[in-house]
This record gives sequence, C-alpha cells and structure tokens, in this order.
Amino acid sequence: MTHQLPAGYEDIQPYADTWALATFSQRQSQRLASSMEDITAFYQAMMPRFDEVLTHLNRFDLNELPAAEQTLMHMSLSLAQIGPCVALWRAPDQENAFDAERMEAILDD
Amino acid sequence: MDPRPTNLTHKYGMSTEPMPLEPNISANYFEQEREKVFTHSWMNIGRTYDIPNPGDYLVKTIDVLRTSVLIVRGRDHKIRAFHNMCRHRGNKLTAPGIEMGSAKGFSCAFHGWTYDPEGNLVVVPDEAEFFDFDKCDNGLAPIECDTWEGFIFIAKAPKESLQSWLGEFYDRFEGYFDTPDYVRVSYYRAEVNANWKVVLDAFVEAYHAPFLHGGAYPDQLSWEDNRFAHLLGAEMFERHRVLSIEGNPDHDPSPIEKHLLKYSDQVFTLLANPEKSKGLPKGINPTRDDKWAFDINVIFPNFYIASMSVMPLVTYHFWPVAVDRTVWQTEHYMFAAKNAGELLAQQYSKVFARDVQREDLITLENTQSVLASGAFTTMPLSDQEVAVRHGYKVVEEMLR
Ligand code: FES
Ligand SMILES: [Fe+2]
Repeated sequence: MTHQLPAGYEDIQPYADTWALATFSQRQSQRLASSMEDITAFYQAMMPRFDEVLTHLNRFDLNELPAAEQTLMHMSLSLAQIGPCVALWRAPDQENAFDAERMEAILDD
Repeated sequence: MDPRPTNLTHKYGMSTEPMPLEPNISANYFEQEREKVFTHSWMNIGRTYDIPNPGDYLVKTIDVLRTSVLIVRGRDHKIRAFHNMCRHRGNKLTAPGIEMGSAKGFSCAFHGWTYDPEGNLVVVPDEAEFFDFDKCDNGLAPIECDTWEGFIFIAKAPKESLQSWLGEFYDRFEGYFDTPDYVRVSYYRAEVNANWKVVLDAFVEAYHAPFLHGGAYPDQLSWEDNRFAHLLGAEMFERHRVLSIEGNPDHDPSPIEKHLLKYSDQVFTLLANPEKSKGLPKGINPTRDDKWAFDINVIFPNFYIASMSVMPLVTYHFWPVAVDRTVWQTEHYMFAAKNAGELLAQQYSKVFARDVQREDLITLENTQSVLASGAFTTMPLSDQEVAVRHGYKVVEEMLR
C-alpha cells in the first residue's frame, strides 16, 4: 500500500489515500473538491489522535521521516488545511472570498 | 475612560473632510504617481538572506517602473541592482518565470553577450564587427540599491539616501529583522483588480475586522472591552506610518488552534501575549502594552512590515500594475520548524492567513468595480481610519 501509516493508526488509515498529500496545492485542491461531510469525517477522525500523532512525529528528525511517518505528517498537514472549514467556515470554502486558485502559493510545500 | 488614543486625525494635522475617490480611478492620477512617487521611491524587493553567496541573484518585475530588476551579489559580496536588460538590443537577461538563482554571469540568449555578476560586459561574440566599441562602456544599467534590517531596497531615481528615506524607521527596530533565523515559510502572490491604494487601505485599519472577518476572528479583535477594534496606537510620520493593534486577552481559541499552541509558540492568529510583548526594540510594540497583538509598519509607498506577538515577521507588498490592477504579495517568516508540531503550526498559519486575506481581496475587487460609478465621489473616513487618510495625503503632496 502506498499510503501505509505506522502501526497503531489503523483507525485513520482509511483516510490516508485521500488526505496524505505532499504539497500545499494538492491539499488545497482536495479541500475545495470535498464535501463538508467528508471534511468533517476526516476532522473527527484526526482530532482525537492529535496529541498522539504529534508526540509520535516529534520524536523524528523532520528531514528524515520514515515513509509511514511521512504519510502521517502529510495527513496532519491536511488537517491544518481543513481546520478552518470546521472551526470557522462550516463549509469547504468561505461563501464570499477571492478565488483560492488565484492566490498563487509560491512556496508550495 | 477609553485609554486608547483618540483625535488622531487632528493630532497629525489632517483635515477631517471626506477624501476624494479620484486617486483610485483616474488613469491620469496613476501616471502622475508613476512619475512623481514610484520613480523616486525606495522599494523593497527581497531579503539579503535570499542571496547569501556571490552570484546569487533575484529577479523582480516592477510594472510601475516599466522594468525588470536583476539583483545580484557580486564576487566582492556587495549587492547590486541592474535593469534586467541587455545593452545590445534590449533582451531580458533572465528567462521568463525565473525569480531567483545563482550564476557565474548572465549570458543573453539572443546574441550571447555576457555580463559578470558585477554587471560588467565581458563577452561580445564577433566584437570586431561593432563600431567604436568598448566593452568597458557597455555594462548593465545600474539601479540604486541599499539594504536595511535584512531587506534589499532599490530606487530608480532617488532624491535621497535609503537612510534618509526611511527617516523615523531607520533605527527603530535595532536589527530585530536582520537575521537569517527568520525563515520564509509562506509566500503568496495575487493579481487583484483594484488600485494599489485601495488594496493597501484594507490593511491599514482594523475597523473592518469585526465585520468582514467576523467569522475568522470571532473574538480576537472585537470583544466587550473593544467592540470596534479601536487602535492601541498610531503614529503618522512624514511619509510612513505605524499602527498597533491589540488582541483580546480572553480569546477563546478554536480546538485546533488550542492544540497547535501546545506544540508551537508561532501560529498566525491574533493574540495578546504579555510574555512576548516585553524586552523588544522600541519599534516593536511601541506602546509597550500587554494587550499588544501586532504592529503595522507602512514603509511608503508600497511595503509593509508587520511584527506580531505570535511570529516575528510578516511582510506585504502592493505593486501597482495599472490604475485598477495591483500585484499583492505577502510573506510569513518564522523560526525554522524543529519538529512536526512546529511544521504543522506553520502550515495552519499559511492556510488560515490565506483564507482570511481572501476575504479582503474579494472585497477590494468588489469595491473597485463600482468606484467609478459616479454615485459618490468622496469617502468619509473615521478617526480610526487615520492611516488611510494619511496615505492619500502623502501621495497628494508628492504630486503637487
Ligand atoms: S540583445 Fe542581448 S545579445 Fe543581442
Ligand atoms: Fe482584513
């Protein structure tokens, strides 16, 4: 499996194929293409594991994350991408906002 | 009594009359700004830390000066700026889309003329065919260039030194921004269909925050004690200006923000942070208030440095393209992420700032789209919009 998470994260494994995305623009596109149901489901799966995930990842050198940890990192970055949707916008995107695609992310990491 | 400053417009000697809309819709006014403001202004085009080594260079299109600028660190480590234009028949020296790089020299793709990193012409193929020609007289056209606080500034036809231009700002930050430890973690650019002043204005007042950003900042800028996000401080200088904004000390963070703040002390949010508001240079949190959330330092005409209690450096640039078109640019600088938690906080900051600022940008396009309707020809400005008013006053004086 390409998006294998470390052992102990089986509960969030079903979200990995969709949300373990390597770049900012990929994560942004995924957010904008998702329904609020999908976003909420991902959020609700990730949030209870927040502390465990970060405690685990913080033990590694950021530049030398093993593949499974890298996948977990990418999923966490997707959580950051959809965080405001759940906490603030209650929608995949704001109602009246400048097109996200027109805001060029020059550092697309 | 409200301890926040009042009567700012009078204090800085400005009229309280409504301001004309003409400067934001008139093509003629824009041309005058080009000639009388931007041609003589020092403008920031990057960080010295972007080009640490000899041969490192930056390329910046500056539409309002009708040029592209090439900024290069020479083999003598000095930073120089040139028009990015070949002395021969004017070809641009760098390929389209290139914004930075490192080179031993610059070779023109058209006929192979080659310049060294100090701008001297060193190779002319078939040179003997040219008439009365001396390579020494045919280097790149220099542009004035100087640095301050780790920022590189250029000016096309300055009337004074960078130090003099910066005036009150020159020694205000005591080197606070001049460090390689602030790493650029976020960089956005957008072309916005609005006048550069319309765009800038939205970033120099907090009056709009409780309304336009009511969803993004449910309690940070507007709460019982400061319902209308009144300024904590404001200083209007000869050209530049400073605003200080306070944050709600009792802000209730969202669950994700709460989590992130456990793993990183750098998150783009608006937070009163008494611990981080002390022991700073005089230009950071100038009012010395515990409720300080961030400062806005507008370096006239189009550069803006924000220092925040939650992160050291945010910059904005407002690059005029046409009377109704602006390239808006913002960058976040933080200490490099040492671990996953800090990286996640950086990512959240990048996402959240993007979302909030998209609320500003759509509004500015909506505004510009009806400004020329003729329905109104002026805008009344409140005392809280003193920095907006000041901006028009400074431009107006330079056009006179
Ligand atoms: S235009 Fe550059 S070599 Fe001819
Ligand atoms: Fe805003």
